[in-house]
Amino acid sequence: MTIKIITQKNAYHDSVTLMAISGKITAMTGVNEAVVAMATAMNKDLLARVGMLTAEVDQCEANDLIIAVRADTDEVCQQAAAMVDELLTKRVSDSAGQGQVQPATVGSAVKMAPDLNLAIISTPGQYAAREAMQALKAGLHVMMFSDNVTVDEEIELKKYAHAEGLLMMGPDCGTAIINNVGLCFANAVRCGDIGVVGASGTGTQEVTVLIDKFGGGVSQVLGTGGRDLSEAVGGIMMLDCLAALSRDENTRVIVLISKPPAKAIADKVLAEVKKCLKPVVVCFLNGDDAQIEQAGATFGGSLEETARRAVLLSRGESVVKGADCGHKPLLAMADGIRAKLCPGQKYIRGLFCGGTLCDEAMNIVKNKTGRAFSNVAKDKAFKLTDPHESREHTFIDLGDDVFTVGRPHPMIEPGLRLPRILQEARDPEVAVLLLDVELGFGSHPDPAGVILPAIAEAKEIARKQGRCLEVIAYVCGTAGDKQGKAEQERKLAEAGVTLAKSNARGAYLAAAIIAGGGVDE
Amino acid sequence: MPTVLAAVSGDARCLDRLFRPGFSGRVHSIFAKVVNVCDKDEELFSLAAADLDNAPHTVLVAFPAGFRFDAAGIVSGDPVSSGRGVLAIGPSLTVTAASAASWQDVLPRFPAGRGLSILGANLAVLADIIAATGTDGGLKEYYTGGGQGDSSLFSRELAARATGLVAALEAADFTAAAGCGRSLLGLGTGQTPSGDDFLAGLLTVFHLPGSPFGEDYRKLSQRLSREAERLTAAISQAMLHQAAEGRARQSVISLLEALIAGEALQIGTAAARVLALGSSSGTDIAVGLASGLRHGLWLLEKQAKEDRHDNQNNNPKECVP
Repeated sequence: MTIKIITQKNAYHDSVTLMAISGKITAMTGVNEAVVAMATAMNKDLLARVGMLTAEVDQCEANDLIIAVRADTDEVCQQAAAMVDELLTKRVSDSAGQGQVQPATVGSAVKMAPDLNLAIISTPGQYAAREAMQALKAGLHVMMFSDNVTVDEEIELKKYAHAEGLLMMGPDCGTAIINNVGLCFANAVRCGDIGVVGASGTGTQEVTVLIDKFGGGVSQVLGTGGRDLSEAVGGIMMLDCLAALSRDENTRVIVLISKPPAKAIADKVLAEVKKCLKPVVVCFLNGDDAQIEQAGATFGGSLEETARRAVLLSRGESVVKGADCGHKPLLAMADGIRAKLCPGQKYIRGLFCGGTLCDEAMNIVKNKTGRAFSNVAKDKAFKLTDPHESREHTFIDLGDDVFTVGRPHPMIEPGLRLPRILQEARDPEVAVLLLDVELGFGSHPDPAGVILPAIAEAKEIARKQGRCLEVIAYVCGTAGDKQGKAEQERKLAEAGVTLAKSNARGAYLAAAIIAGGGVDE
Repeated sequence: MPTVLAAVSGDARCLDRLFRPGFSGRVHSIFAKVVNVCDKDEELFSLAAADLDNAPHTVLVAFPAGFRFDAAGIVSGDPVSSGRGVLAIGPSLTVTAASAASWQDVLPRFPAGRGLSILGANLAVLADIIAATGTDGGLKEYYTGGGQGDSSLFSRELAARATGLVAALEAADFTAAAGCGRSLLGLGTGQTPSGDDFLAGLLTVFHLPGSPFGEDYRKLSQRLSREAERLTAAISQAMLHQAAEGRARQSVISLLEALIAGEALQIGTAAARVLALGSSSGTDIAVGLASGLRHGLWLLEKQAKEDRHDNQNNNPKECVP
């Protein structure tokens, strides 16, 4: 065990910088303890009690910053020290380069560039509505990445946008592709004639990525924000986007994606779908296929099925129910994996960065096994009381506020997931870890690379206890994404991870491993 | 040419001190949105971006596009001086205060009567908010009773010492309370240690007008403020001095107002602004505020029980001959 101490005399850094340093060091493999603190008497006393007080720290004064790292080897300590140095230096150099003019307000941005027609709002929630309204009043469409905006504010913004013929995408809208330009978490997908309206970010990513995979392409991808189809908001933006795509001459097929909407709003949306002259594929996750088909639309039972059917329709081919999603090969694979498990291994733990992917996987497993718990379950009976502790089959959305306050979203910083991977690996009842890896413009540059050490350690923990831990991952991305889908998949495969061809297939496989044959299709 | 920034608002006393002719000091510390300056007696004053909230000893200034203090060409130790209504900071920065609005912090009254049950209910709302959105690593676990099994080294110590402090207050043992409070000073991670943030919240509540906290509590505040001078860092010292004088930033005042007389939506909005302070600072301050308010309710309940007991003993109908 080695200890490395970095001290800075009278050093003052923004809390966010210190927090980032603390997070990055703690996430390093081989690091046992990392402390970023002022060298006060109480802190020094505490460090002494855990054996981390060196003579160097002892000489520091209360206004000095100390960064103390305890790691398995000297090499890890040196790596941590180099990282600290780099992060602190980077902040300084980032601060020094101020060549680009950055407008401070929406108003000044419009004055500087009168041709602007869309604003992306990504401020803390309490300020977002005000900025969005300013943008709408300046005649801009709005994509609001911010969350924590009140329902009343959302309704006011959407009503205003509707009256002015503008798009108000969000709040909490993370994915859009407008005129071939991918925004926020969008993926590099092929251009085409399928228009997508999504009330869920990773759901939209998954459908557009799979449309690309099946040979189709997208015309426009519009987001509405997750609450749009609630009773209170009334689907204002889903209806406006549906109307816009109905008028768009480059759109031949329309796809609507959402978690299950409020009944009255589903009726309202489907009534408009019925009037639409273009083929519409509707994916209301875990939704009612009969209701959707009565509206003359095509039902998408999973995100994969939605994409597959949209591509068929865009080619002018007909959709034959039950003929397009075969999972039989998964059953054979599941039998092989199950044979390697110990008798006590019976649960699936899904650790997801994408909320809708988490939801889809949870529903698939719950439909098959009857029980699945989650931090985001709507059914109170299956909502985890403590999101930090799993129970039976558990599906965790790591993008939920409880995990992300003060931290970047796990699609930007996937390191958030590492301790939980190890925690689940230590549970002798766990058979399968189910993971998602999102690629795209806004995502981490190497999300698979970040989780590899934890996956290796997790498998080793299980191996030492005489168990075999199955890790299934799905990489949501395209060959065109900056991270490179093939490279990301190669890394995971080399670490012994089973790769799924879609999020749904990963969940079906996990369910089949646990529950045996007869996976519903 | 130096960059000229316009102050938009500021603590009335701070505006007067900084922009009065003859102020002389130096740059203490520089962050992206805040620069701290100190006078010859090492008293700290802050100049902060206008999107932050008004606070004691702070002046808010409007930033031009892309501006940040840590890229403004000033360094720690640069001279600071005032004259002709402007404050010159180092060679490259000047702040004018001609159109700055004056701000004063006014703490809300501790509730009474039916207001006590509203406060009790609102504290439960705040506990849920802290549990769901507060930052780990400081006092969050102490307050929410949560805990992930492997809570950090600091969290465990902070929780033990905060528990000791509240127990000492409930026992009206102010010597023990001072010892427990002292043990929290300077304890925790980050630029302002969590123990300091917690105490700042707690001491602020002791100064609410109409509260059940007596002179002993204010003496305890003063004592901890003095101890802070040798036990914690300069920025924390300034924060604790202000708290011990019953001074608080606007976001803290708004949260107190919401807890005392607001509804869930107002609490959520106000709590979000406090929780956003620093990394874990906001959470620890909120826990300090909530702990103080809870203790106030406990004191009043205890007093009411004692009053009832006294009344019963004095009830002539129940006197035993």
